[in-house]
Amino acid sequence: MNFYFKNSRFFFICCFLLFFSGKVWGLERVYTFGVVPLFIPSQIHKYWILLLNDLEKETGVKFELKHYKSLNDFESDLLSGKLDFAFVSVYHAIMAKSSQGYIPLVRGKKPLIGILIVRKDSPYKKVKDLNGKKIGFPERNLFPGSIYMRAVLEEIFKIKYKALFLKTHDNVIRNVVLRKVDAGSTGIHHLARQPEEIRASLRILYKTPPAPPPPIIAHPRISSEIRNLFTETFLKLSKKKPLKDFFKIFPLEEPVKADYQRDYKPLEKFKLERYVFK
Amino acid sequence: MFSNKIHKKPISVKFFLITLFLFVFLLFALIFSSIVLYNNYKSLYKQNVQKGSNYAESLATFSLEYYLNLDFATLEKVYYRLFSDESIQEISLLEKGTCLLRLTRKHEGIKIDYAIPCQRDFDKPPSLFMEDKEELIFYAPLTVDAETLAWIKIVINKRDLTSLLLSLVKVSFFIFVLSIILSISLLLFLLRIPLRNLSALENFARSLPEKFGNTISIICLFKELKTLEEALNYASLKLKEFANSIETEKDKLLVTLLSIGDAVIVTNEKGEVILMNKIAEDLTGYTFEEVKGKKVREFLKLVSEQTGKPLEDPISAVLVDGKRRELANHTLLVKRDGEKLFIEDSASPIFSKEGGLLGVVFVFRDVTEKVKTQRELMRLEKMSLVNRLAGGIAHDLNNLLSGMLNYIYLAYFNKSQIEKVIEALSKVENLIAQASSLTRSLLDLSKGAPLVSEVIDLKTFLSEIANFVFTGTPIIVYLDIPEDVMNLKGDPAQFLEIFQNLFINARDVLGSGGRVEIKAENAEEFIKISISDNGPGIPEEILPHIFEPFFTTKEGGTGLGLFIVKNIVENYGGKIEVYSEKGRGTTFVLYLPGTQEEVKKEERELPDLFKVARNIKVLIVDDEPEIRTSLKEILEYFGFSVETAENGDRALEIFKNSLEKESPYNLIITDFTMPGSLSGPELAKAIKEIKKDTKIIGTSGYIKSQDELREMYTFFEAILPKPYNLYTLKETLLKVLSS
Repeated sequence: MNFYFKNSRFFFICCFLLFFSGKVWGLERVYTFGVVPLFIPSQIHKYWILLLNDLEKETGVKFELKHYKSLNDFESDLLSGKLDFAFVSVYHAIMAKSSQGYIPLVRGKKPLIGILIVRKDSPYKKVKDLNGKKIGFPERNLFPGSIYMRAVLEEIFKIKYKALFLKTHDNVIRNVVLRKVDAGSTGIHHLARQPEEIRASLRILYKTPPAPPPPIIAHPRISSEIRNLFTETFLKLSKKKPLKDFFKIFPLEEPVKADYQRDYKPLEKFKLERYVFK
Repeated sequence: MFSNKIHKKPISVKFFLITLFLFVFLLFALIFSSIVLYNNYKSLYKQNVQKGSNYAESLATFSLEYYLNLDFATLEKVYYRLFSDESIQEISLLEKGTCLLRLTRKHEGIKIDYAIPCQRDFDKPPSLFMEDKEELIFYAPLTVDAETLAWIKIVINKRDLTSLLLSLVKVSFFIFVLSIILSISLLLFLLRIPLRNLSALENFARSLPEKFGNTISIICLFKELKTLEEALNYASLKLKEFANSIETEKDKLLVTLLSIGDAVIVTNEKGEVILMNKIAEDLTGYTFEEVKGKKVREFLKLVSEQTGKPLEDPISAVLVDGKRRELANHTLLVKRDGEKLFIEDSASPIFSKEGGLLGVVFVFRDVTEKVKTQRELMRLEKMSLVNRLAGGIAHDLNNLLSGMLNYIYLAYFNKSQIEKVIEALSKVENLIAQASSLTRSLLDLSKGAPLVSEVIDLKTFLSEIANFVFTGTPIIVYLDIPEDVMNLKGDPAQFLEIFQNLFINARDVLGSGGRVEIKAENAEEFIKISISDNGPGIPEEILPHIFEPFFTTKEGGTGLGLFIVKNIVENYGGKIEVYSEKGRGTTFVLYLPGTQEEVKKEERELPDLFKVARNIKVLIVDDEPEIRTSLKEILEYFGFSVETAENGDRALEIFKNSLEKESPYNLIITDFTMPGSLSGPELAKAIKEIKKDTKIIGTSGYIKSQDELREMYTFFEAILPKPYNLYTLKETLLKVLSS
């Protein structure tokens, strides 16, 4: 009996401890956070760790930064709902919405605009003139220089072209200048930072409609309290100077609250997922 | 023969050695530096060529993949980074007619050009290495399967090469300078002992002129310096030997010189005394020690006896032209104590063997006693002459006076027969004229000035005399007197005396025929007149005596002709010279005073003295009562109102009284010399000061000099020489009163 009593008392204490420890677990939950691996891994680690630490301090919520070696791994986790929070590409935001119902929380203020450039002395006056021509793009899955522009050219203008993926925006621009391609797709701010002699030899043939910048999204299983806490705290921290370098790399400058219906829903018609390379 | 001329400034051995070593070291350093520089430059050049070639090939290999992948942005970045190598001037990616990328180094940075036309045709492969003045150019192909797709061009500038070259030059220069300094220092260190010895030998050689006979000994291993030492010691001893020899010779010469009976002063080429013998010391009053090194003119005072003025220093004159000088006659040496000595002798130049003037030897002797003796003899001779002359004149005058007395007796005897009285008085007048001529001759012998001064046409004058003398003789007279020759000025009677004497001498010499040439030309203020004959000439032995009184070769001659001629000529300040050559003739050359004044035209006919004499008051002043009285009577005879005064003082008083009475005298005739009172000229001067327009005639038998005569004419309107005849008196009175 004593033994039973003793054992019962031990069990009770354990349950008590488990109960309270379980409550502590519930308060101390660690949320996973993924960053689309379109950036240099070291930079992702350096800047996002710092940001998440600040968020932890401010919110008391714990985050775990998850690293991905490939885009496929990232998309696999994202589309399977394994990530609580993620900084994703625009098309990822649409894909994640449709697959898991991920909710955009914040995004950069300035819209993304893709441009088509040609040499000033080239005969191309409108987009249709590029039908059947060589067009240079940066990395395949870059938005808006690659995915968005190809989607627009094919879905809106319905033209055929030979796409050459030239890795970087700078290289795209130089290939246009050197007449290696007939036109090149790049971002407007990439063109702006080129030397004067390059800019002077080029003209913009076409600008895409404005698209929202990449967002931070949250899985719908995250409580609205936590989502709101995250959103508010991020917006609050973004106004502090230490994040200045962060925003130079990751397109979240001057963050505002994101709204899927308003920001990303209009892009669904471009069927962006078709233009993503796996 | 050794020459003592120094053609070039000698170079010191020390300087020469240093210069020589310096030159060798400089040459060595220069060659060494040049070799080092050249090697470094070649090495650097090769390195640059190798580097450029490697760059081009590596870059072509590297660029191929990126080129194929169209990754020009990466290529641009890589190329850009390569410009950290300062030597790269340009990197280009070239493709068939187009330079896809060209990165060029500019002052403002790296300039990138895109897709610019290519200047080269790259269908044919270019040379892989080219070079121009400032750049090395390298090409490398981007090749796939032997097909050249593009070219890499790299340009490397030579700035590095040049700057390295400059650095090397600087370093080499530094090494060069350092080498020189070290070389000189080492040289001086090594040569210090030989140079010191050389310097000692040099000092010894320099001191040889003063310290010959001494020897020098140096401690030195150099054989050449020891040989030089022996040579200098030998030279020193030889010099002493020569000096002793010269000293002995000098002593001998000095003793000889000092033993000479005349005074001797020897100077150097600057006129400074270097030797003076005892006689010279005695004559000058200075010792040799006192005047040694001084100029002779500083202590030797020579003056002319006649003028008292200093004479030219004969030594200075010899030093100027190098010609021997003899002292003029009448030279006086003024001794230190002021005593004056007559000296004679000469100053002669001393020449070196080469003809250079070394100095002057001045030899002179005291001839004071000799001159005194000569003058005493002359004085005695003159006394004798005067005695003889006085005797002769007294004889002649006594004869004339006897004649006059006799004719006066005859006038008395025949007082009732007026024709015989007039005839006797006429004879007396002739005898007086002869006596007057005699006294005129006496005046010619004296040193007095002529009392008459007229302008005479020389040509006419000489023609008339020549005509008078030579007419009727077979002698041909040639008269050459140009028109521009001046006129003579003086007493015509004296000039007549001169030329008559000379012409008569010529006539007597030529005798049966010959030629006489009379020429004249201007010689400053004188007229040079030469009278030449082609007679036998005057024997050489008698030529010096022809002007002496009473010297004659003519039978019955007085021996006074040429003596008087010479006196008259000299009284006019002129001179007479004679040149004669045996068998060829004699020439007398005379210098007589000339004048540019014109000869006075013939006077208009003088008026009758009786008419002129009316209302003319005349004062006669003469201390001789007979002259005073006789002249008064003669003038009164012509109608003059005449008063007399016995001397100058009295005459002045009378003249002043006449002025007070407003009846002044119109004419004063006064004697010159009146003892105890105003002389004639003083009286004339005083009267002229009182009444300037008073006419005054002076009468005199003798005037000392031409200067005095000229002065007389400032006070007198005319001068009447004594004795004057009636005709002369009348003529003078008429001239003065009608002027």
